[in-house]
Amino acid sequence: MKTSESTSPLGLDIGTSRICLAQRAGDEFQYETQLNAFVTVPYSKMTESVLKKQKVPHTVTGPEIIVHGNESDRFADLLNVETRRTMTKGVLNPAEPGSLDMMRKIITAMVETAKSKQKLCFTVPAAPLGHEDNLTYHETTLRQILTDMGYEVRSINEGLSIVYAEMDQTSYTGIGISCGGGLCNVCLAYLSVPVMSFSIPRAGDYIDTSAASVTGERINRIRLEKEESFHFNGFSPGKLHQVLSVYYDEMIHSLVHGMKQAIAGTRNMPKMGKPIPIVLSGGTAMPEGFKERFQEVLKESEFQLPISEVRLAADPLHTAAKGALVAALTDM
Amino acid sequence: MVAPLNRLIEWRAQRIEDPLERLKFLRHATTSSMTLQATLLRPQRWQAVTGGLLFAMITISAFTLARHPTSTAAATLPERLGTQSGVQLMPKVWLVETKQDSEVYSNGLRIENKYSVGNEPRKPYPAFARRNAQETPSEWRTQPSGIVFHTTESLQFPFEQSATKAIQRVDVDVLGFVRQNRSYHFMIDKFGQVYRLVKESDVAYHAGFSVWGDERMVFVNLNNSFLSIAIETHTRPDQEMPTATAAQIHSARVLTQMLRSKYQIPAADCVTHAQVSVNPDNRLLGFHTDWAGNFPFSELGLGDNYLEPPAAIDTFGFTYDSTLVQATGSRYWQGLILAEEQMRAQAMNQGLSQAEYRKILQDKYRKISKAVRGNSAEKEKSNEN
Repeated sequence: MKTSESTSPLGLDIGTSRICLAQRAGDEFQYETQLNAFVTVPYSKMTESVLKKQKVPHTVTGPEIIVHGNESDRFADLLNVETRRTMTKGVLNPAEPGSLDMMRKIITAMVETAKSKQKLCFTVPAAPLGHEDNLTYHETTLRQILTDMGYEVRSINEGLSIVYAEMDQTSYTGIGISCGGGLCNVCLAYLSVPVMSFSIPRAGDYIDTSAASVTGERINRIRLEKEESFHFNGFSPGKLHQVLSVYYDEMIHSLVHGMKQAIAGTRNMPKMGKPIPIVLSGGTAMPEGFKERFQEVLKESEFQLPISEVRLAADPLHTAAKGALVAALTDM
Repeated sequence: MVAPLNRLIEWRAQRIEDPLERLKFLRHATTSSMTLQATLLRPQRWQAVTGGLLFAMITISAFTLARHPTSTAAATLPERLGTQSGVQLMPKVWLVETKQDSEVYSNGLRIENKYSVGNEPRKPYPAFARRNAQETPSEWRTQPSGIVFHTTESLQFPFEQSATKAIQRVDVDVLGFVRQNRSYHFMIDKFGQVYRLVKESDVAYHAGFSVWGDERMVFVNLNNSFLSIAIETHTRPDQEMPTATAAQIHSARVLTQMLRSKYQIPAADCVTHAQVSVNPDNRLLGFHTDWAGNFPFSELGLGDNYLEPPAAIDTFGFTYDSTLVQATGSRYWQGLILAEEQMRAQAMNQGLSQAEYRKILQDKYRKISKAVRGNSAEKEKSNEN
């Protein structure tokens, strides 16, 4: 296990599909990302030596070799199997017996052990809309892993982390949305204080799974296609793009409907005084045309709050990690 | 209800260039603001009255600041909040009769004199102009200019009938102690009885290193210039309600009325020890923190002087730390923000960084403090040690 020489605070976005570490180097923010997934390969001495030679993160467990992080995708494609996930719908995967162990391995491969009391802030999802908070186990477990590594640990709501990362110009007032793999997380903040937050389970994985069930393709392939070439442009070149458009549209409608519902149910809503911005982030918000489609749906919905702008975050894949780092830097 | 306060916080935040510093400020300021909001939303009657008053005051100050968002406002002190409220009209109270050991006044005030004691007589003391304060005094005064409220921080028994004897025993001990040390001019015990200790014409060693300023004048080291009233209670920053009994609040009200009437003391110069106490060594406001929060200004017929910008900050370059902020409890010292904003604006107006300007103010304090530091502060310091 590596030991950190720096005592600079860290931000960690622990998402369903990716884990992203943010740290500060001078005035710049630096990021490191790993897939939050793994795949098992039958054990052989040759495979093990190849993995070692190529410095692929892996663990040998009896008759299997577990490849985790970024390389798991390549091996899954090679072996024609699905990757396994430590998390589902924003929290630790209860159906995956090795989730906790793998989570620990992926995190320790990315985050060095704290040398002294170093601050680390990690993201946690909001409770699903209309449900009680059932995130205690998830948050406590991650906190324990990081505390064991010597960190002074705090957590931050994922939606709020988007506000912290992107909305300094509006005194940290606005709606931050993180469209990830397992969840879309939303947070309305006023002067840095979260007023309302929620999550919906319709996000990237929902689109992939739904599209896979309709097209008969493997989920991994759908995801790669979606990330590499999908865009909203009003016409669909093939069946897969058409199917993706349908499920994306459903997700956006669910998101906007959820926002309206959550705001309607928020007591003591502050008087904003002026229109507020919405910032979209996360890998699922990246396809070309997503922002415009979201704006259309928002406009059709007659959203309750006046909106000054809808924009995509400057660096959508790293926004939540940056927000967590900002929280850590401001002493939480 | 506190939307104007939030607008003030936002306005202030937008003037902090560094995003991380801005977020730190917001997280601190909004936490305090929300605590205030929670307090105001409770339905107690006195809080409703205070809330209304606070709302009006905050609105006035937010507007005042919003009107002058640039350096053109730099030389303008935040508008005085105290003069806006009808509760601060100068009371008219007179002495009705004097008996062997007591006095009775026209507003029902009764003062016990059996613990009365003399001390060094009040000497003429300097008052400095608050705007463009020079190191030479603007005027010299001989009558008290204000009142500082203290807590005795003494042993407290539950305020119950069964504890009456124990409370009375403590009263006697505390009265003896503070009389011997010439600590205050008046003390109000748990049952609301008002005791005269040091004579009004003399100095009490109550404020030590201290600064207060009203709209026009600044006073340094207040032993000589301000009267003192100690309420037998202790500081409880975790409580939103005053930690004084109803009888004490009533007595403090009539005593304050009498002193204001007698010496024509403005309401803005009736303040708590925490608001005036400074530490010259580390340049921090709030060396003592008694009545840092929850002082019942409105029940005493005064405006909420927690909204007043402390002159220690904007005139003499003091600052404050989290200890004072913690001690303010559920109340929000908007005055701290106003004073810092004033200091920042003055620095900008003179083309100086805040650090450079603060140093100039601190140098001014050092010179003035040296000039006015008489026997009183030194003596109190030795008492405290």
